[in-house]
Amino acid sequence: MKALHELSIREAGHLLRSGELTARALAADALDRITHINRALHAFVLVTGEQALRDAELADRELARGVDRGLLHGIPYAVKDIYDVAGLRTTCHSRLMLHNVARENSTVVQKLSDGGAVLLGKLATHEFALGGPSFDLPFPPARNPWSPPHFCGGSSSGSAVAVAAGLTRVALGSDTSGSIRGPAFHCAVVGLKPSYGLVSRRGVFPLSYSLDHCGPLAWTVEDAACILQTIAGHDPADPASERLDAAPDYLANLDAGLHGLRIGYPRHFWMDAGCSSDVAQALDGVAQTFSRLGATVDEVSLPDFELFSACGRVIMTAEGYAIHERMLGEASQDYGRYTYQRLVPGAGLTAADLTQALRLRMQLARIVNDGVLRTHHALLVAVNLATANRVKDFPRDWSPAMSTRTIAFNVTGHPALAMPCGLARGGLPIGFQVVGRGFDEATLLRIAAAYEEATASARVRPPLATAPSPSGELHA
Amino acid sequence: MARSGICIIADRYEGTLANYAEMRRLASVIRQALQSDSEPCGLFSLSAVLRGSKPPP
Repeated sequence: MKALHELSIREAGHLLRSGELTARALAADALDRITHINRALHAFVLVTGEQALRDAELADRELARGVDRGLLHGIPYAVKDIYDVAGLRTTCHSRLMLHNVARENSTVVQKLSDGGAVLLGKLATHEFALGGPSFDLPFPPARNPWSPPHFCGGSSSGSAVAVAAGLTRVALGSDTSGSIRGPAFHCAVVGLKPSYGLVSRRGVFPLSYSLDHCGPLAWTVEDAACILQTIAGHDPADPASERLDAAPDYLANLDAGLHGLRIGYPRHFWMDAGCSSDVAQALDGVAQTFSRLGATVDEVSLPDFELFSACGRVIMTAEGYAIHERMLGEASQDYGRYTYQRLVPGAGLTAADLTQALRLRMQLARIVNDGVLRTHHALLVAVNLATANRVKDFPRDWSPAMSTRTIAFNVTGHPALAMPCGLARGGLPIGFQVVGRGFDEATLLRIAAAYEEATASARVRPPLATAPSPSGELHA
Repeated sequence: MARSGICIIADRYEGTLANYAEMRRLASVIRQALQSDSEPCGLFSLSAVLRGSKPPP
């Protein structure tokens, strides 16, 4: 028998439709866990408890009279606090935005609401989805449920922490240089950065128009697929949104296995950068598992990571400065230290710098797309070079050293899914990412689901997440 | 700006300058990688690249 917070979206949906479970009980259990566990983890910056219970009761009444809104009907979720929710403030975890109340739902929140999902609240982020783990902001940084003194990743920090700790099965994050996949790595959850243009960004506070992606973090690959199924699709209000044919069924091939797939393995991408032995061995193990499951795994080459990094960071800093130029002029002292130090250098970048970075972006995207992703269905790539540092060891001033390998696929726009593959010697999570062809999320989900099914190390949970709900014996 | 604001910004100066120097270095890396400035390039055609993804033979 599973505790309520351990039910997958499809398991909960089955019980909701059979009348063995109510959406209200599901939401109440989540709120109970948030009440007791969030005080140590600071994942939520706002809990919308009363509204969540009302929405859950509505979902129950609808199901009772035969109105079924689909996969997410009655399922609790939460969003990073850069997503607009009508009537709630979108703080971006910043002193500058404490009174910024949204008038409308972001497109993603509207789709989830239309699908009957139940919003539990809003989640911690690094300031403006950029800064870092900081103590000079209006809310404390989220804490890693595996080890609170250690970094939980960012900027979708609260999203990963809330999912890992079993406070919500699914959450929404954003990813400009790895902000979904980095926290997924450090907290041992599934994080999906979809293809550029697949999921609308309207109503989500931007960091970089050219690199921002919205996507889910979830406990399992199947849960991530359920969310993607609901939020993918064209939105004329996002100029980057793609006009695609009807979204494929992302759940249809989750059990198709790996036979017939070719997976590229660009080992130099992390080994040349001084990857830790824990992470290197874990990735080699994943490659061996892919082979054992029937895929053909070949070592391949990508352009030097520094080119992706330079390109992405120049674009992100130039566009981030453009977005913040006015506020930096009016209230620069209200930014957190890290955010300020990362944004202001954008003032010194020239139009030529940005133009050259955008040119290089196109070249890199073509090289990856017409090279290794022409000959292979997907790539297996490191997310991070090492396990989490202690938060107290972060420097006082922002350091540009980059240990993630994620920004490459914000630059190229290809979809990338991060997931866990076990724990390092110190007990902290390690993960990997699979990167696919444009708009081929279905293959990424298929690969990830096969690995998850075959490998217990893909399903590691922190002790907090497997403990019973604090004030109840709620089971299904 | 209030005096406390000036102090806050001044205190951040060196860290900001270090990040600015890093941006200049990255811009230089980009220029070295681009071999020619005369070839045509659609700066905003990422969509065409992604939609042009083809399955392996």
